[in-house]
Amino acid sequence: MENIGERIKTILADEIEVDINNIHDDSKLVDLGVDSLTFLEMVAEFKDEFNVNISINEISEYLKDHPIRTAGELIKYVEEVILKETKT
Amino acid sequence: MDGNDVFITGIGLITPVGIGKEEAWQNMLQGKSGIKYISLFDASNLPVKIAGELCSDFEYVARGFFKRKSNYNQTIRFSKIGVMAASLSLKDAGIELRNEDTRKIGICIGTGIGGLLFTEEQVMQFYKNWNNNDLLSIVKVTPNAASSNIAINLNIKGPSLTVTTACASGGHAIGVAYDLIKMNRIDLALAGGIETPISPLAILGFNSLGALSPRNGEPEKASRPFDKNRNGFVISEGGGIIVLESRRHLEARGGRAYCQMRDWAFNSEAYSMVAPIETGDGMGEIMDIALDNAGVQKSEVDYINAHGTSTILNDISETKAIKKVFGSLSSQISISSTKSMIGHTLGASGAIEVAVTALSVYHDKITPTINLENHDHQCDLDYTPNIAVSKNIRAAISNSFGFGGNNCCIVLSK
Repeated sequence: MENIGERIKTILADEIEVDINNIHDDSKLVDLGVDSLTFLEMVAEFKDEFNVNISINEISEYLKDHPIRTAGELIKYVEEVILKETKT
Repeated sequence: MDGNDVFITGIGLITPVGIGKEEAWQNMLQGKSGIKYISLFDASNLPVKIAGELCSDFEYVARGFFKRKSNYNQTIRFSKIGVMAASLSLKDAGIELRNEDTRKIGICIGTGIGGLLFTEEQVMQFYKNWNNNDLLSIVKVTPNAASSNIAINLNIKGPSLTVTTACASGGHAIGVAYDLIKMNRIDLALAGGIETPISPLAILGFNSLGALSPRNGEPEKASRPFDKNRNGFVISEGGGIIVLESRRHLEARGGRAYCQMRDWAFNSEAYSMVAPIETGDGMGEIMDIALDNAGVQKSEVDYINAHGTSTILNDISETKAIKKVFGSLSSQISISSTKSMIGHTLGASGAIEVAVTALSVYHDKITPTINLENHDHQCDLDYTPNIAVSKNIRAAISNSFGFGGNNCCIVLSK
């Protein structure tokens, strides 16, 4: 999953135009300039990049109990989704 | 002289004959056509296969005008035209936003049907697999997306409005911005129109009304306002945004003006959703009121940028209206149709044409009505056929007439 984490960081860095070296696991998304629209855009990019089929409803449900505030939490969530899709 | 007199000081044009004021203006002076076969989607099964599209790398070029990549990605072509045209217009005016109180800058954008192609694509996707629909579809298609994205990307904090009155939208948006300056609510405005209407549904819809030219074999010849063999308009995309500025603000910064906007007028024919009153009474009335509001004598009008769509109905009614208003002076006035070259950009057309009219007044040059080859006895005025002319222009008017009977006339002068 390490490689996937780096790919996620690359997408994030590209999207918000921040140097990838400035994105750390504990970087707060809000401080990086990620708003709700940017988040949705990234979801679309992750779906393309990792060929996963998660719906926005599933994401909304997940976020109710597990708010994603940091880059590390985002990476963890995307990794979980990919793993779940791989199993199914 | 009044500090609230309004001037056009910047022009941003995105058209099928050129991106940027200079390229578009020069190509119009040369009478170039921007009408080609549709490439935005497969139109092979449609009854009309031609349109006025922007150059293929437009969206790539537009990227440089957005604050960040994410701002760019959150927009469709419709807003991309807006952000780029607004930026070009400010640059042309020589206005540096860091020197301005942006709470005193207004944004007023007209559009008829916004980003229809994207909406259609999303509906198609919905029926295939809604899980793959664009997650940002609502923020992309909302009619105010263009005006709001201009505000967001340029950080302009004054009033932001979207006006929609079909093919008169761009003219109305400029008129409303003019009023806001006259009322002292703002110092300057980014005002204009944007449209990206080239889509299967729009083509089928306008075609069913008999409004589109089916001249598929000769795209560049299809838009031919006032010509005897005209058979409808050609649908096109584009945008025009101008900087309107108060005399007080303009003089304080020492800027240059293309012309003065003297006033405007708008009315409703209360007659039909699609057809003008055949006698031209509604169109004529609005020219009369606009000139009266502006305090401009009919004998001062040297140029009319006509609505001139290339439909049978419009071109005859507009000719009758001009004759009614100007009487024996009609034959001395130069008239031309920008749509002959770029096609009909619907809600953007009024704004693009006000920009072209402003350039005409500034340069004393009149762009031609191309494809005007065969005399129609019902269209017997001087429409500046095929070749641009030089002429001293003291005052000029720009007409826009939209579906639903929305008429608009804007008066400019030196």
